[in-house]
Amino acid sequence: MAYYRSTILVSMDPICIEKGALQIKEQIIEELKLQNILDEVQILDTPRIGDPETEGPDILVYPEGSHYIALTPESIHPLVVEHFIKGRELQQYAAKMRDLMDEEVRAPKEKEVRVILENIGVIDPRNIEDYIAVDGYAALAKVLTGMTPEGVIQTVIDSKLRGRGGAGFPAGLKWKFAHQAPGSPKYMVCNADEGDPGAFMNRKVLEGDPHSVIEGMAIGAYAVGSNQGYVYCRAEYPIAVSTLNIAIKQAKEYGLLGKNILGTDFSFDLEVRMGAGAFVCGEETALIASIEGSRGEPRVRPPFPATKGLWGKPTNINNVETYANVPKIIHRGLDWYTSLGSEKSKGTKTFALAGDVAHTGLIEVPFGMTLREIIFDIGGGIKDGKGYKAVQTGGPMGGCLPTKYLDLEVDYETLGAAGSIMGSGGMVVMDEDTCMVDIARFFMEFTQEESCGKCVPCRVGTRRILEILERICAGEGIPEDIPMLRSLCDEIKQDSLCGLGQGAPNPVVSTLEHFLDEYEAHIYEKRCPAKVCRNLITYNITENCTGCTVCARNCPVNAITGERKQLHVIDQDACIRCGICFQVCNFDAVEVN
Amino acid sequence: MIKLTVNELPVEVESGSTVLEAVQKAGFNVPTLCYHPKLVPYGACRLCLVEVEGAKTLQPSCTFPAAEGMKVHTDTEKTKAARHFVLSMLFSERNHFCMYCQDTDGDCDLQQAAYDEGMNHWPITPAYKPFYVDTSHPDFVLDNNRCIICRRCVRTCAELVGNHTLGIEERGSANILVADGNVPLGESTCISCGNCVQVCPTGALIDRRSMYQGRETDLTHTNSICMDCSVGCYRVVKTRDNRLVRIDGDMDATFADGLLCEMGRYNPVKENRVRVNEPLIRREGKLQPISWDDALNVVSTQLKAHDSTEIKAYISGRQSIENLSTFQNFFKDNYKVGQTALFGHDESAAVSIELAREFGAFESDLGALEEADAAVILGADLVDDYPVAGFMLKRKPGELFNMVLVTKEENKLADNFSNRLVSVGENYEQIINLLACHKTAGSCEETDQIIAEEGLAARRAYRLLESVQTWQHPVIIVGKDFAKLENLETLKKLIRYSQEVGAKVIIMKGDTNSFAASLLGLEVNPEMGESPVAFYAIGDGHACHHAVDGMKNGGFKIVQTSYMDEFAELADVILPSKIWAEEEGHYLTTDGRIELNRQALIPGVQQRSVSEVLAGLAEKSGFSLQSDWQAVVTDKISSIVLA
Repeated sequence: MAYYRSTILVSMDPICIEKGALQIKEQIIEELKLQNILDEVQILDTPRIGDPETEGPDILVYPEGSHYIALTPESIHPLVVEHFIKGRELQQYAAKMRDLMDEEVRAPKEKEVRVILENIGVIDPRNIEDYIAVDGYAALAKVLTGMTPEGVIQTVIDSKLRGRGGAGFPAGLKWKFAHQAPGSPKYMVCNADEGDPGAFMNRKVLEGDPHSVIEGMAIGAYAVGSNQGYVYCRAEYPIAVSTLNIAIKQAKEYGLLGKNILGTDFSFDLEVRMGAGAFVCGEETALIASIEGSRGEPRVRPPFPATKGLWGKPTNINNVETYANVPKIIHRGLDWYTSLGSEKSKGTKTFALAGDVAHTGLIEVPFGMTLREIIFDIGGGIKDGKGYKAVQTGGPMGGCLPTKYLDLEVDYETLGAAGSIMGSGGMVVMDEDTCMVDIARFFMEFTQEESCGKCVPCRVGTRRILEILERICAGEGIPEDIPMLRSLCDEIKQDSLCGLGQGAPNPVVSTLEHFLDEYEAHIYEKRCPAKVCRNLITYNITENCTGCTVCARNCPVNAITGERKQLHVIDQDACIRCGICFQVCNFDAVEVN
Repeated sequence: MIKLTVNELPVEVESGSTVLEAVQKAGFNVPTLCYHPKLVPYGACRLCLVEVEGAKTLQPSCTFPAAEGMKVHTDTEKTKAARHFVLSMLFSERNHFCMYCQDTDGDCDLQQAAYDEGMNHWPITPAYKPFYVDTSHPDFVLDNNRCIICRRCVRTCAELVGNHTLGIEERGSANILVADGNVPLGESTCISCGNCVQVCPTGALIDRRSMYQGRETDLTHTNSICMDCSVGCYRVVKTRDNRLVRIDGDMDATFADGLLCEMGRYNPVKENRVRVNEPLIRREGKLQPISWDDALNVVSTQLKAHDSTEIKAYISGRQSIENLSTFQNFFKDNYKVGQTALFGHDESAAVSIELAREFGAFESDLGALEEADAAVILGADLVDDYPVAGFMLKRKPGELFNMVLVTKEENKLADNFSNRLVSVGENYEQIINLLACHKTAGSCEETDQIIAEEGLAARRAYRLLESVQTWQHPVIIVGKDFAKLENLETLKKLIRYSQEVGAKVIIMKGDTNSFAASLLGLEVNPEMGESPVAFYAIGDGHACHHAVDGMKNGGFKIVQTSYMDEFAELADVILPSKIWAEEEGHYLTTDGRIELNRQALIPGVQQRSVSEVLAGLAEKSGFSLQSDWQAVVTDKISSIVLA
């Protein structure tokens, strides 16, 4: 293994690439060559470092930990000369001093526990030796040389590791069922079809620490008795796919995948299969159908994949994060793992914090942390000092939890009891300006669009709900709509074939429960309290108007009239409520009613 | 056996049964839409939801496995609400205005389910965008407006027929039934078997010729056997006022899941040849009507006027065993004519009988295809000649099934299988040797050479040959191109090989009843030489050039036929014949089943069967006919086909 005095991590986030990260990398190599120090510095690709939108393309230089942002090809020459020749940080491009490990989440150290994300940004995902250097594959070696499949399964059962895909089924039990199921061959499948809008926990792991997933799958394969595995990754994650493919290739070269792993009788091969962007393919049976080459539609359970899965054979299917937990549990032991988390949910969970929260991004916290801690302590509270209204957990099928649930300790049971779900870990925070009817309509639009159409309740029911919600938002709601929505939701939850349909009504059910007043305002008073629903609001110009004419000039439909330096007036019949006047007014003279 | 209760009533079902089966066995009814007994349970329509004590949500009874001690309830508030909900959703989805639909009043599962639930209005007003109606197909119409997307048709096309033409496009509420990625049905890969139309529970796929011709209850159903090839599928002939309306597969039959193909379902209904309605005689070059008595006198006189050994008599393989037997009895046993033979040049039935002389009962029935994991097809075109037997192979899983094809021309089955060895030509022996060699030794010195010589797709061929030793239930199917008397020695080798490796053998017999004809001693593949008088019993068969050319050698030609076709144009006397639906008769299938074709239509007064004509002639000639075919056929059949 070669030794270097410095390591440069180049962010290969898609946005950074778009902004020229590849050229920056080439430029660095050129410059180092020019300075004759190319063999002293290691250059590696890494997933996102800072915020690519404002800071990309950026690099990270170790051991100093200097973070250079917004780089241009011209910046490379002075940077290399200053940093690597003269040995001092180039202030012009350096990011403000801060603890880089916490960069993305800005979480207070004591709140965060990194298990799944601990290697992200620390190791080079495209170099297996980096992973081995942080005890990678030690767990696999331990399993293959000293544990029986039953022993491995028992360990995973004892760890109380639960499926991170959303349903929280005990992973060890799942393995046990697949292990006991008659038939061969058996298959291992990794669900990396992360489709919740705004969620990217799995992408991060696959791009930053792919070997942890491969190792977890290999351990699972040994326990279950499988020799073939598939990682089903969505095609929208090209970097994850290429990183994973490189990792698989390297693992094979190192004898950690393929025939006779580590010289034992155990063989396990792994392939990546790409999904074509159907949300429902995250449902395990739909995912299996998609791998088989069929239309990605769920199948009825039972039979469960453990007995009849891929090509009708016993199949174990877990989420990326579940597999990534396994090597850590085996390597560091049960005591360590079970010390994390709440009573029923052990370990940590990654969440993608999004919405109207001050700091958005990925976080990893132990189960049992309250929503308040996550949103306010880690997320920094609501953006722009506004008030908190609700948080929606678990993706588009999650419920919206209002203020009274802020002290809820987050785990599978508590979220379920509160009418939401853990899901894969999405968390969308909403501020006081959010119209909850509109939110319900938005999520229903998503689920009805993504419904596969196989079962009637989901295919037709979600469509009918959406039509009602659209009507309410348009100010055409009728009193009967509320009981109708309730009964549709009840039946869809009860009667649908898969989790998508069973969960689809959650946003409507929870908003009906916690924000009924908003529905009633829309229906009875034809009023949108949050001033969001376009058909229910009007724009008016107040006395503050100075007659600057900006609004009149910007109005796309010429609905605003008025002489210069005179009070302007909006013609309500012509107004299309686009809100441009509101945005362009410099004197707060336009108000929304 | 599993014991459970349905609505408090104890019931016992076999293990592996579904809750639906238990419910039905207990005598209760749960409505279904996507469920079809011949298809893999799908659980999509959610109409059959039942309450299972202990389960969190309602469960689809069609897929849910029955378990010991389970308590099932079919008629609770919850299940009723669910059924009501599912139905109101479906009625709100598309155009289900029953009064304008062809499938109503008992013919439509959706409407019936709504009636059963006591629904009399739509709780939710339908809001749908109309779809274009696809009328491009000659045999049926696809009206997506009536579709409930239960996918019975899609699954039938894939699971039962193996054609994979129909599919669903788009997601969610935009779901639409399409052929081949959305081309008009008439331009698609559809093979017009019509099984999808038969399983459609609503009026989305409707039969062109029978639509608006009456409800099921208005039609007379006659369970019968198909005689359009020798496979012998079970079908239901549906008639009204002595008119053929439609033919459906008999879905109650276990054989081939009650499937039919285009030949069996549509060809008889499409018949448009001109019927012969009275006996005709050629006078001064023109065909002129004549009475039956006069016609029989003319025929009788002609037959007596010549040395009987010079006379020849030919019959179509579509004729029933009764007719074949009477024919043989009249001409061969009584009249001692020079030749009694079957039209056509198919020798497979005779080959089968020859082989049985040496090997005893060696043939297997077509049911062997059901459990087969490998097929070796030698000189048979199952897709075109025996479509339903072809379906039984086409529907096998393309990734797992092993297929060896040696056929004269490119075989359409090839593309369905990725594990395949395809040889175009007639090197049957070489391929048999190759398979035998790989079976016993696991490899073979000549493999490379044979693959090169034959120009086989090498990668696939090696992969297939590697699998030979793992075959559990191989089936060898021999067709008319290989099953010839001249290949008898090679065929014997093949039978020996099959017996060594435990493979089942099926020899596909050419014409519908050619097997029976051969057993009765009729010649096959005859030389149609010159003769002063010849009798042709064609019935409703189609003219083939081979037979028409041979017929030109005949002197005085007596033709018994149903239609004015090429044969009729050459005839000196034409005797009007009944068609398949007008007379009852037995048929012997390629795999030795004796089946009854029942009469479904009443013939015209002048139309007579071969047996009736020959009985008339026998009377005039003064001898009595015997047709004890049962003894001959049943005895012999057991010595050829394994029970």
